[in-house]
Amino acid sequence: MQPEDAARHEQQRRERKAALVARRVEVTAAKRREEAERAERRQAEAAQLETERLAVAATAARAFEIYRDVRARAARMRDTAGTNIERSPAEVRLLAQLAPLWDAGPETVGSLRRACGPISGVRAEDYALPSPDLMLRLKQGYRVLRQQVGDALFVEESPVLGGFGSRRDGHLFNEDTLMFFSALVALDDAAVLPAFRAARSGPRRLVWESGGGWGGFAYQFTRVCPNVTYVITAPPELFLVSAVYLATALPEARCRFFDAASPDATWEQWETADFVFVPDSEVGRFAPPRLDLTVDLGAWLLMTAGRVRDHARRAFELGSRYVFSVLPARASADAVSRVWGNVESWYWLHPVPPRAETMPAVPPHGAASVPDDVRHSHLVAWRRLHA
Amino acid sequence: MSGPPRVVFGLPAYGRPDVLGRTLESLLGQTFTDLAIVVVDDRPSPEVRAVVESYQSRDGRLTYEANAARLGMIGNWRRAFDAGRARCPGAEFFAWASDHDVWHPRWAEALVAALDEAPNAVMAYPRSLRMHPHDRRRVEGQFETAGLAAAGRRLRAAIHGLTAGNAIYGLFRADALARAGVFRRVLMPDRQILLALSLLGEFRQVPDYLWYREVSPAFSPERQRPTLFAGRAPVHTYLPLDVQHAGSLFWQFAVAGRGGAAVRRLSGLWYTALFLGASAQRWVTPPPRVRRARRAADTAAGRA
Repeated sequence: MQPEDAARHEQQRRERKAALVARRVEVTAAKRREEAERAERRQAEAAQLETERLAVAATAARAFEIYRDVRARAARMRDTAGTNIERSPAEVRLLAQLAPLWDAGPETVGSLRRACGPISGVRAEDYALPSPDLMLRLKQGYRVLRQQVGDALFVEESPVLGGFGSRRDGHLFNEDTLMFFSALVALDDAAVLPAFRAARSGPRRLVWESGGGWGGFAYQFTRVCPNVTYVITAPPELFLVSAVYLATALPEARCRFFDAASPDATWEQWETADFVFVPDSEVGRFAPPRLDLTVDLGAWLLMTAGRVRDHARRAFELGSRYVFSVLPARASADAVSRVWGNVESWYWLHPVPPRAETMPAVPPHGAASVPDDVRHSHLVAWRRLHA
Repeated sequence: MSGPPRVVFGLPAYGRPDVLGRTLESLLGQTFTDLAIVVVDDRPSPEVRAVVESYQSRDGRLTYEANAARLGMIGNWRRAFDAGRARCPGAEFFAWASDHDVWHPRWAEALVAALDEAPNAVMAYPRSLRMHPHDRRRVEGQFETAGLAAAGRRLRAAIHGLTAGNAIYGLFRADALARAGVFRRVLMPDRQILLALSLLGEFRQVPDYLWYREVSPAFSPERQRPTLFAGRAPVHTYLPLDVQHAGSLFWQFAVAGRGGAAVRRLSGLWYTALFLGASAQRWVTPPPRVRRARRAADTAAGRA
């Protein structure tokens, strides 16, 4: 090898080594940068989690304060109600399941939504690791309704108090959310909802929901139709859930509780109240100054025929122009007759055509059957001129 | 309220006491209360009279008259219009009501608002549901001529897209309806009057489902003639349908000159020609809805 060649090789070797060293330095620096960024991200996430934890804790603490107030009021309602209500075995069972809520601790109240299973049948634990069947039903119900009617009536599950569900398009929802969504769509299809939505700047409307469940439909309805005073009649036990949930999820909401000692005071300047809670023992006597819509989202299905009749008659007496009632699509003929048959004496019945009619006849993904058990039958009944 | 009501319903009744009460309740229960209802009974019976009187005694907005002799559907629909106008000469709006369908409580409120918002509109109607014995089904078709300023374009659009059986139960500006000729003595008089009316102004469709229609058998000319006319059907009703309708259009606007400033005599002649051309085109390439109806009619005829 010539001396010039040796020198050139040596030069090239040095250059390669220098490049290698420089690359190593670069890689090391990049690694350090990434580590620093990761650490920053971890810190930010931890801070975010801490903020969320504090917010959840603050909400839970506020909810517990609300709960204690509601519990005192509900207890007074229970004590003055007496035992003159003829409750069906299904109602008795439900109230027994809710009985522990009279002594709920902060932890239970902080995750109140997870205690709502007995009310609607939708259980939070089913969503921890949802089954393929549940996911299919949710996805299909959500897709059908969103495709057909758009976003305007969709209100997602609030994350407060342990709100749960499946996430799609950034929205949290579960079977209850979809049931309420389809109920709002049915009210819209029945040309009832437009009058309530258009009333934003007009006269305030009054809606009465019998039962009220855990407060989920009241939450959705008032989000879509804010210029509404929403009255819920129910056994006082249910207010431990619905009233606490609504007052916590909607902190600005103005809530009132019926006081048997001064019943008329409940309705003074009623337009300034967002939610009014009345024990169902008062259904025969409560007298709001107007009533535009009566809602039953399955509460009447639990009642005896006589009590359904009492509710429908009271809606008529109070001048409610519409009664909206929801039953499971697979409800027996006897159940339909017991509920809707008893409404018919005072109202003209008009079943609302279902929106899920575009569901495929052949079940997708090899499912055993068309997943129609999330579907419900909706009825909008128009007030008769004379009973 | 003072002065005449803004809305008059003319209800040509024909022997449906079984469901008439439901219909009357839906009309008397409207959220828009400035209205009157005139029932003209072409098949008077104690049952129908009893149903009407049970409501009449409680609500002065309802009146009843029985025809001395049967007028047929066209005659009775005309009579309902005339009686409504006679009872409330100043009423701005007129609507026909059947004795068996159902009107949503917000029907008049929503349609009056639609016509108040659109001075160029002569008719507004809602989306509808079909009433089966145990359920309701949406009628998905939509049609309106909002934004079509030229009368010829509105006529052409109506020929191709209008479903007369739904729109005829809309809310009309009463003056425009009178100028268009109310019901003519032709087959499918509802389609004819709506096409004539399309020349006088826009049709608006309210997107809410506000009219519930009882399911009835498909159209057949053989069934229509004895229903529409009290005695023998006029000879011209055996002419092709579009020729009957074009003739009515020609008579109303080109000969009688009742179109006023909107449709002068000469334009009446032009629109008649336009009508025949567009109808011929529709016959050659009918829209899917018409193809389905023709198939159904053929099937029914085959079964018979």
